[in-house]
Amino acid sequence: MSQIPFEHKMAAHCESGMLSALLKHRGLVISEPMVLGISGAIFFVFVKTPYMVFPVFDMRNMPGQMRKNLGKRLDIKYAVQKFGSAEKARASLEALLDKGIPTTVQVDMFYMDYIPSYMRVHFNAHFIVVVGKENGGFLVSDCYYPSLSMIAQDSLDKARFAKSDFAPKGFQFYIASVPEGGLREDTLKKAVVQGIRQASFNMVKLPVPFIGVKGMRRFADSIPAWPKIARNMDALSHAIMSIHITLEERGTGGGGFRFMYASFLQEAATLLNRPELSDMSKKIMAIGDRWRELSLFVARVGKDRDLGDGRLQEIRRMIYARADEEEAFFKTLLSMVK
Amino acid sequence: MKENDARVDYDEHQVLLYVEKADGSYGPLQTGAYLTKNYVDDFFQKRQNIETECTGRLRKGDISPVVYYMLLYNMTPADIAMRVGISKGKVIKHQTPAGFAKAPVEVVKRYADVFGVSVANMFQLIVPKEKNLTVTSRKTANPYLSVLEIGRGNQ
Repeated sequence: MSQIPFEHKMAAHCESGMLSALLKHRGLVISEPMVLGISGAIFFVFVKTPYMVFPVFDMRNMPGQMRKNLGKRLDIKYAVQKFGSAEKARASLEALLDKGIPTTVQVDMFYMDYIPSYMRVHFNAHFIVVVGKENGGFLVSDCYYPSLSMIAQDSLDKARFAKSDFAPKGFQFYIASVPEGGLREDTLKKAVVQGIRQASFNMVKLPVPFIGVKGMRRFADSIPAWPKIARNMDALSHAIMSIHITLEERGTGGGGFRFMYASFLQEAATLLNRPELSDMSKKIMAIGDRWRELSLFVARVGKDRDLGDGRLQEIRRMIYARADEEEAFFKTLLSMVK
Repeated sequence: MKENDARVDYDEHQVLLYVEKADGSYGPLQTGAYLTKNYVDDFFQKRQNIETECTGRLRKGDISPVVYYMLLYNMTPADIAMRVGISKGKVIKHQTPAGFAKAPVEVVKRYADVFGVSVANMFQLIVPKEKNLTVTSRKTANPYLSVLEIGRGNQ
């Protein structure tokens, strides 16, 4: 089986980057920030389940939602499949590759053979594009890596059928159709406005206590109690430093997706000819800078094991300040697209 | 974030950030990962501390390898239970050597898959006596058999 000609490119985030690359393969050029913005993906959710040692947060919407929202708003159709067994999933994937169709699969990141040991964590909602099969392994385009990578068949099977939260169940999809003649400008304009409206609503209006700015404050409030959860100082330090990873290095484009959202708003301002969105893009860039200040702070105090109650309260206050800024920002943004 | 503030010289782990370019436009920048460059040694030190703590307890018979890998990968019994496909209560029972002894080999294989090790490594610690030895565990077509290759220098 030969390799499908597919332009591999690093991206900030696996889902938005993979969608942008797949669309480009089908002749539609939509930047990664536009995918993020149109799909209304910028978000905040505070999560605490028995499956995790410490409470965590994420700054984008549910995995899979970017694909669904983008498809709905731009009339892109996907062929989506799930499977009951690794053998059936593999056979279907190989058949698609034989037809020259780059196919996205959902995987547990832990089994990606090519990642360094310090990045090996069980996370079931990572997306990669399979573009070929060679010597019993699969050739994959993973947006987090500078070049195409190889993964053993056994590892890919395990990754596609990992259990627990967001279990992939062999999930795969490819782009079945895009609008004939390319995207119409009015469709794109409407989609941009819908994306902004949805994201702003989710951040400040959704009546759920663990989502949006309310979720930020709830997450902040949980932090001073972390020493009671931690089995020792190393574990507490790891959890605090993980805030940096979630904000900066777990595929956000920096500042918890806020820098990428600034880029989206800048594109949106030009597309819609609305200079006020350009001002908003500068504001969210500045908010992203302050998220980055927080992430550099937690990395430093975590490394120094400087994690007394005073420091944890300081982190709590910093997150509260971000929540206040974002509440004002997204209320203004929502008022612009009502 | 300004482009120059975002640049980190670290080829081993690259990330893509969105930054403000010199002309005021916003766009992507491929650069090194700040945390990895500056703090990965701390991550490995924490791992080493867990290994030191757990191998002592393993040798004494206080804990089973399930606890060792659970702490190493920062997992909870509930998550392991879901991934292995057994109840949380069973995972808790398997945390002692006596409880682990009752786990069927097929379940031990599923634990090994979740922890990314061979079945053999659920029953042994590999401790090279010389510094320049390379130890590599190779999979075989037999899911219950791995081959441990030991050599000098980079193999």
